[in-house]
Amino acid sequence: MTMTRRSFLAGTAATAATVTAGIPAARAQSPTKLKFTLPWIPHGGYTHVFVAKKLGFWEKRGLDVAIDRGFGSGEVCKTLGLGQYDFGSIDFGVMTNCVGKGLDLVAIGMLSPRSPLGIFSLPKKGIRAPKDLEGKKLAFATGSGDFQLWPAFVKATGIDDSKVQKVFMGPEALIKSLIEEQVDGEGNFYGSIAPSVWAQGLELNTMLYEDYGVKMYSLVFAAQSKTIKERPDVCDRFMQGTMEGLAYTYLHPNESIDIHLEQVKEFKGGPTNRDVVKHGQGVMTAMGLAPEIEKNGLGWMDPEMVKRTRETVITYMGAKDVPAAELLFTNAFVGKVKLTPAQWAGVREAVKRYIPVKA
Amino acid sequence: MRGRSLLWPLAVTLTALVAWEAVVAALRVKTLLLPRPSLVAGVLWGRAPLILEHMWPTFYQIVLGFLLSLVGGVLVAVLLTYSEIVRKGFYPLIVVSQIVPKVAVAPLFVVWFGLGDLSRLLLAFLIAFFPIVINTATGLTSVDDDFVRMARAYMGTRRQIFTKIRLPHAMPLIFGGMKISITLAVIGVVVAEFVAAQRGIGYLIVMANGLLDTPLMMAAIAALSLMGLALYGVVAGLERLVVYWQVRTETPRGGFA
Amino acid sequence: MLDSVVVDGVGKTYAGGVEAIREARFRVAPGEFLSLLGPSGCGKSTLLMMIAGLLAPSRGSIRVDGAEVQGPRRDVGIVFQSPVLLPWRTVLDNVLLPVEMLRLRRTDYERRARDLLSMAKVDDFAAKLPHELSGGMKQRVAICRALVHDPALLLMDEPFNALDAMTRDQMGLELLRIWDVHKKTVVFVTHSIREAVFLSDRVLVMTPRPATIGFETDVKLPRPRTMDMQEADEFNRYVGLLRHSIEAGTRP
Repeated sequence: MTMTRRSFLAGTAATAATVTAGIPAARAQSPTKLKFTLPWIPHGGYTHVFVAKKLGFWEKRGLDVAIDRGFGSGEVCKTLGLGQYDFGSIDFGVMTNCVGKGLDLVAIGMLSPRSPLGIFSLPKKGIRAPKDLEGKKLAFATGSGDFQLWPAFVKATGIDDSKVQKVFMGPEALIKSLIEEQVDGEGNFYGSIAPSVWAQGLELNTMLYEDYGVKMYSLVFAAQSKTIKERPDVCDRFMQGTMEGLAYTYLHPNESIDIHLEQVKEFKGGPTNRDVVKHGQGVMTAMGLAPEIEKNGLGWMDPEMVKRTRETVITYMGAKDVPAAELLFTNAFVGKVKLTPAQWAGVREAVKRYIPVKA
Repeated sequence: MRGRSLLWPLAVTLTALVAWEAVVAALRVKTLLLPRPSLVAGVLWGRAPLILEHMWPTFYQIVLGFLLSLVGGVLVAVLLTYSEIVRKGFYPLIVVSQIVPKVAVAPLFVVWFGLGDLSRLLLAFLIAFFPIVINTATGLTSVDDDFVRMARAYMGTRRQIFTKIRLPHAMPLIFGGMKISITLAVIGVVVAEFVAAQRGIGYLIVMANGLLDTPLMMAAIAALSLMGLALYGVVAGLERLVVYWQVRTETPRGGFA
Repeated sequence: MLDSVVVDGVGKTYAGGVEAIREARFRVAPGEFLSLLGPSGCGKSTLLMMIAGLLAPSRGSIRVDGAEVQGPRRDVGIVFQSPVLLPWRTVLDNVLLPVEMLRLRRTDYERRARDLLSMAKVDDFAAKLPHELSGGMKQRVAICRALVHDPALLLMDEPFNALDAMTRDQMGLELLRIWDVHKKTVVFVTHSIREAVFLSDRVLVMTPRPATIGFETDVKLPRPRTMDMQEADEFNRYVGLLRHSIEAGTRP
């Protein structure tokens, strides 16, 4: 496995360079069919893939991409790692853990450099700092990244874990139980929980792990190392199309929402769904703002952060046999779609309200 | 007589719905928690195309899964009946396969059999074939010795005894098994859809839940219930046709003895 | 003339060691109506089953029409204590069951089936299902079924047991009427002395297990038999005779 990874990385850089020299406008032969999976339900944070599909960013590169919903990063790692999908979006920490378990996965582009993992609560519960968690009841879904990294958060903040009561439930029950105040707070992904809660007209107290020292990468695009080795030009075309979709979403949020609602029929017609999509998109954009991305282009991953994420995973998720950081990611396919500083400023302004502020 | 017998259950259901509507309105229950039935009905009607679109894959998988269970279940039952070796060896395994919670097995099926229809069909089959096996086997073996003796006296071969006596005798029980099986097939497919599907009523229910769209979720559940009821009705109707010789004892006033 | 049935030194011991029949030896002439009479559990049904080829004797042999019985035979019809009609078949289809089992052409026998039903006075019910018939009617259908394939030998195992006394008498008359037309050899098992005398040409009395043929008598009453005969002295003399022999057989 290690050998394959090393050799692919050596080859990929060279191949990618030749391939990206110029992307032909259209392919003469019939489009390549690809299967892509989201990590969870197609909420507002994933507008970019629907934009890419609708506006033909993949089509013009000769790709026909089918978008499936996922069932949590853990499950997606399995199905993606076993080759049932060509590409997928997953949490990088969970991915690293799964690689340690023998699944063949490599990150090929960054979506959310800021980790959305955290503890969330309704303001009336008065949870503003980690210390406030002692004596409270928190809900978690056992398979989720936020629960697996809870020990890291506990260590970084020095709270007394034994004083925090935990209840466990399936991921689909989390948000409702918070709104119904069955628990005081819960672990979740900012992009999943915030839009739903806001759409109900409620406010949310946000405590992100990374604001308290547990800094790590979150949502990435990934594929098997096999795919990268055997079909680097497909990977390149896919990522270009996806990054183009991401850029469009950043720069044209409202149009993107319309496209999203049109593409995901289950959203159309629900009373609050437009708001849910809007908030979800705003959150994901806000979590996508990072200096290395503004500098190096959309999707670019900082090797230092990858190393740091890997260490956190090994320490707190009990991952063993995790390959070296260099083998977990590649920037060969990203960094070509860039926004100007002025555009970045505009984006930041537009999603100001979504940038979580440490209490 | 048929028309009259439909009126009473309808009346009971309607009363329940009216009570539900009144309670939700009076206690001002949040729509997120429990929407009014009138709202759910509105969604059921207004978003019917979406719901129907998702009903179709669920429906044909249920029917297919059920038919597989029927054929497979009867075959296994015949094997169990006629081969002691098969029975002793496989019966415990079959029972164990029923005890394992299907929700636990569903993700495994997805890993083994992929994300397509196959894993859902297999899950439906796994759940639905047991009642058919049990009921068919019981039906085949519970034939009165007198019947078999009579057939043997008239020189019936084993095959003739099977087709002319055991099988017809087993029909009422097989249909009983089928009625249970169709409802289980519904559950099997929907559970599988909860765990891993890109379309279907189960998928819609999960999506609506994820979006906190409880009215849509309940409308989907209502649609699913109606479909399940209809499928059950088809099997029950078939039963009346095929098992025409079963005498239902009725007291003179139309009740049941 | 060849005997219809020859039972020669037949004994039956079950697997558990229970000796049901020690020794039975008798012959039945063609066209004769023979009754096997005895109390319950004396093995008379067992003996009938062996003649039918449904049970194998432990000792001795049985021959029907000269051939040794080695299993069920085409030329035998049998009526059991309960009618055993298939509930999902019409009366007519039930009667035609032996024809199907023997793989004969249904069309050849349908006329005969209907005639039998007609003679048994249940032809109106030909298209009905068994649950629509009374017990007596069902047993009549069973008798028709036993005769549809024109067997030479008719075996009857206490066929009127489940019926009430009045129906029982009626059925006896019906049976004799049918037998009169179709002159078959009949071996009739019963525990009713009066029934045995009324129906038969000859009565064999079986002793309790381990059973043997303890007594035998011809019944020289005129045919056709009528209900009034049951009042006659001669009839009751036979009844008394048989009763004494049965009591003698049960003496410890």
